[in-house]
Amino acid sequence: VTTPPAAPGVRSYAAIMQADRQRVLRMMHGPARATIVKAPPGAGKSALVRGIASDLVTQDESRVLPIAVMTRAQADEMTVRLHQDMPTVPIGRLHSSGAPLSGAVTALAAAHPSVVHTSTELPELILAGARVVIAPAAKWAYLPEGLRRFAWMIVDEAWQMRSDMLFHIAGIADRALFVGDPGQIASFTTLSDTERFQASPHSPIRPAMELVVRNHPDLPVHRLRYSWRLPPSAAPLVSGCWYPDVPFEAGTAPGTRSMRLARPRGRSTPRNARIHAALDQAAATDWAYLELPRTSGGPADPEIAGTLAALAHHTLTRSATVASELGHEQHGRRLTPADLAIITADNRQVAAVQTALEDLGTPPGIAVSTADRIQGREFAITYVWHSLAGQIEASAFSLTPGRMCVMASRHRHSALVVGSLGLDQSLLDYPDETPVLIGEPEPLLDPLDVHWRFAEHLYRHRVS
Amino acid sequence: MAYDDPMIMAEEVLAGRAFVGTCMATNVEHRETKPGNTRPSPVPLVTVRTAQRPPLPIDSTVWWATHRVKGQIRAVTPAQWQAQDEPGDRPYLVEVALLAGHQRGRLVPVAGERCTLANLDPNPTSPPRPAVKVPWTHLPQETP
Repeated sequence: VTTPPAAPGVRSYAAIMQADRQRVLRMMHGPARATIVKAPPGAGKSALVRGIASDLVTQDESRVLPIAVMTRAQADEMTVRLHQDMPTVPIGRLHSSGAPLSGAVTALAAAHPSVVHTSTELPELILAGARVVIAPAAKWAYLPEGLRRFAWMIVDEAWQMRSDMLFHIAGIADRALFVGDPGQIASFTTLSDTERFQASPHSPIRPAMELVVRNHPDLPVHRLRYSWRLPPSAAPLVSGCWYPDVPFEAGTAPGTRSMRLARPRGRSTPRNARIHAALDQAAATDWAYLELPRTSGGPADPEIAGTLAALAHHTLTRSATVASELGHEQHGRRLTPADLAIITADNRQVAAVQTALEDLGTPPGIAVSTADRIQGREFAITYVWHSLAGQIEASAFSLTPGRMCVMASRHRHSALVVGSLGLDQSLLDYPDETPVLIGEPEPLLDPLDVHWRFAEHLYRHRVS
Repeated sequence: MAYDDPMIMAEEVLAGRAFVGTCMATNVEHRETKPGNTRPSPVPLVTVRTAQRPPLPIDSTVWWATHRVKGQIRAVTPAQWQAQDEPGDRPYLVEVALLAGHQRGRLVPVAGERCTLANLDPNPTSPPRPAVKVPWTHLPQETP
């Protein structure tokens, strides 16, 4: 979620967003059944979806507009933001009985009972007059066939969806708008015998959008060109590594954003000297790569977990403040735990980092999450468990380009990456045994090549 | 999945998604007002003693594997090493609040009982029924 700059950066957010919105609406009204919007990280994707939704509803083209997102949190966020954008239009949040709504949505529905509706049943929302109904794709998938067919459907975060999910929801509307970030990752499958889906036009295990584009190469595509989240120190790197077909730039000028840290307090040990050096490096250049000696504590190495926790902890103890083009940050703003996120590759690492934070007595509120779950979210500072750190050897999972891309593109100010010695060697040693499957599309990115380029960047910001 | 199969649960313990402990005490009188409710309902509290620090952080959802009771880790505190502990043990006391499936406090571990607490949902929802017709997105474009 990107908040538009209050003061101008280098480009006018409002003018660019308006032009994108009009262009996408024109494409949607062309002959194709679906329009695709490819959005790099922080390009104002959600704002575009909300804008199009309000256009479709006010032009009365669609009596009820379904919006599918990928997670419950995204559905709750979309509900709250959409109501802010169009406070008089009745909207509905369709949810499953087992999954509670966020406090924000419950409070909103209680405060505005005539315009914000929540229910586990679609007919109830429609009877209540909802013009836009928001639900995770997994909820839309349970809609009985033939219950309702809509004129339009918007799918947000479409690149996080796997093809089997789209199979369930593609039929609910005549025409669709797919919006998403092609650098993100669709959920992986735990099936073991996936070879039988090879080259199938409806393979259930491929990312949904890859399949749609393959089956329908002529669908109109619009690309957003500016990231309002990533600073100029990150946008060209992320664009060059992971977005060969959606090149983008930062919407803000170099020097617009900065981070300041107070002097470290307390006794200096070699370990916390490294932590503070990495923080200083990040404050100066927006990036830091803290390289630990080759660790062997397994995939959830406590040393790496402790280092990440300490970096976040000392960002707070050193009273970090950030300044940016945003109105409330123009004169500097003190960071709180909610501004920070620690991003790992798997769930065991999440648990290890959370335990380390508990041990340090860090105030609660820091987001600790896997890359897969933190997609679409934005923070001031991120701390990244390099997907190859603590691995004895690289694996296909740890090399997945999208996973590292999500990790490297969540921050507005700085990203601090923790890795272990020998990153370059483990990339060199990786036996690339990816089979060439007949009929399968050639991947857009070569995982090893992308990791090399990112590693070269990290080595320029190394603290060891 | 066979959550009552100790061999399967052993794998979960090794993978850091579950832990085993001995129930030390329970409080079945405890009540809490759950989100969305106006009145408090029974939320039994169970204190489990483990040989090592559990791999799951506070607020994790855990299932009492053999009985399909859903709980949440509330507190994790180091405990005193005692003579009956193994030499390498670093015992902890884990407080778990039972949130669902405890049959109003009747299905709760008793003091002294060994229990496996796993961060897994033993009641996965069934997948949606596939569409009768393959949607247009999943079919190659028709050439006019």
